[in-house]
Amino acid sequence: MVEFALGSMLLVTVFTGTFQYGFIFYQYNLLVNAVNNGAHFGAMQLYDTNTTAPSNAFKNAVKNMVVYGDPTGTNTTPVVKGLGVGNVNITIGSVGTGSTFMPTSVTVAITGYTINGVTGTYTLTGKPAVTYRFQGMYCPDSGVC
Amino acid sequence: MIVPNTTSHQNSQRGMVLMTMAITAIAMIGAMGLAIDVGHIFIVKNETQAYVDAAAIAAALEMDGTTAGITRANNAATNMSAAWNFSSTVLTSPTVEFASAPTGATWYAAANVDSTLAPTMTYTRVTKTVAPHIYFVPVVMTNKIYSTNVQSRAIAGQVVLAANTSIIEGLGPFTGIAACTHGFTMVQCEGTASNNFGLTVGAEYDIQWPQYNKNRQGCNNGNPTSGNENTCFVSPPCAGDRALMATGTDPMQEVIQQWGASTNGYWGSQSTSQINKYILDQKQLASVAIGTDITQDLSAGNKQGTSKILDDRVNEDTVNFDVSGIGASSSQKLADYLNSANQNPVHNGRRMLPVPIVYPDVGENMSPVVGYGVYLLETNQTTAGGTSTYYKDGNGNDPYCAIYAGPWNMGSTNGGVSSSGGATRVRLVQ
Repeated sequence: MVEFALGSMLLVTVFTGTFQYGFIFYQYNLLVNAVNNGAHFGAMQLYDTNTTAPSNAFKNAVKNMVVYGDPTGTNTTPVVKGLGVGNVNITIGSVGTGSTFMPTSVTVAITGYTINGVTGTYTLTGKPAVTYRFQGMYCPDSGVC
Repeated sequence: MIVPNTTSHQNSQRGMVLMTMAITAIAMIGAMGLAIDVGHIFIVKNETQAYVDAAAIAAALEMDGTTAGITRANNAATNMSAAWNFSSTVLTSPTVEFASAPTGATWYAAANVDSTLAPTMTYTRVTKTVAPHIYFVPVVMTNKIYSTNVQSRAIAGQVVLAANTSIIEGLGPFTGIAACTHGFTMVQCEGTASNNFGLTVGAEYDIQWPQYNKNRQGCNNGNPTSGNENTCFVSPPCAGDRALMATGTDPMQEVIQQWGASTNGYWGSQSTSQINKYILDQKQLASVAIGTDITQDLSAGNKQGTSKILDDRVNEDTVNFDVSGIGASSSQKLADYLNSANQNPVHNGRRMLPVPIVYPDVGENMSPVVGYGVYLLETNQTTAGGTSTYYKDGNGNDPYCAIYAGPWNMGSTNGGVSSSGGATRVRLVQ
């Protein structure tokens, strides 16, 4: 009886720990792929403002791509449970300002997303993050392109 | 009350449990290792894979058939920022190599690409190996290792779009003229795409031709003798086109015979508000593909309107000036502009105008698109500030000249590598 109690305590701890880390790693891995897809997608899109703040259309498409794997948002099942568009942070690298502004890179990061393990939680701030060189069309006059 | 049994048989059983536990623990740690170490390795692999993917794309965008382009490509990949190990360790110094094909070709490091090899390099391969620690698996290993190499590799290249791809946006309302042998068919002229359509990178060509007048002295009523073609224009055409006079591939011959006074290579609107969209906002009057006859879209245009907006586009570049001064050669101007990638400010690519390359085909009496080229718009400034190059020339008689930078590689801020026809797009191929 005592052996079973001791043994099972150890076993439960080990299995819980293994599951917890395995689960967190799996979630993190899905997030790495999601931000990679989102950043790659965003770097090919039309960029239609002349500041580092992208238009809503751009933001929504990239965020939907990260969260749902689908830029239109038709698919509403997130790739990772509990991930929302609010957890996606888009940063635009650029050169020039005002009329000489040009986007040069798109960085997508996960922020404020909490992975729930069995015994603890792990909140991601600014990671995973992926940067791609911008190679899409630039057209700052919104509504024209 | 239960009295503890203290026979020797029971004692040996208790020892069994401990021994079994000890042996099982090793197996358990091994299983934990599979979950945690292997899980960790998968994350590391995906993190570095995202990094090499992005670095390969950034590098492939810079290649333009020159060794300078290879150096820029190498820098672009090396300067890509990313981190691994749960975004905690910065990734640096990837291995960057170049080749003419994604498979079956030799991969060269940037330092080994000379000026002969550079024009053939269209693919970039980026490799990065990292060594994550492994914590649990070594427990069950006979020959213990505490880290394992994880290699990620990506190949990106300038992939030619399918020949029938319709280009619906991004082309400026001007045209470059292919320098094809007189009498070539459209298909033969398309075949010169792998040789920059007979044009020289760094030379200055007409993207809109000067006023034509066949009655001028020397023009011989539209049939000038070889070497006198420039006399048919009120102002002399651009230097690159003049240099081709009296050769077998003189584009001025075709322009005079096929276009004459009817058009000057402009295909856009006459209205200023529309011209804005065509020159600044990537809009096109019509979609074009390889082989599209654009005769119906060609018009004399509104030179005053277009000249001003061309200058606007020049001014939208962070490098709207010539580093080496106004008297510098056109090839020097192009080299300076591209070198500014390593200077401050960095050029933003607005002076690079993609236009269709057209072959005014006298035999077929049409003007088909045979490819797409990128031209560097001119400026007459030596420091950042306002320019008026095109507006100054906008009196209707003068040509609009621009420096040919190479075939159009979409999304890039420089020319592409000359390859067989069509525009190219940087794509991951592996």
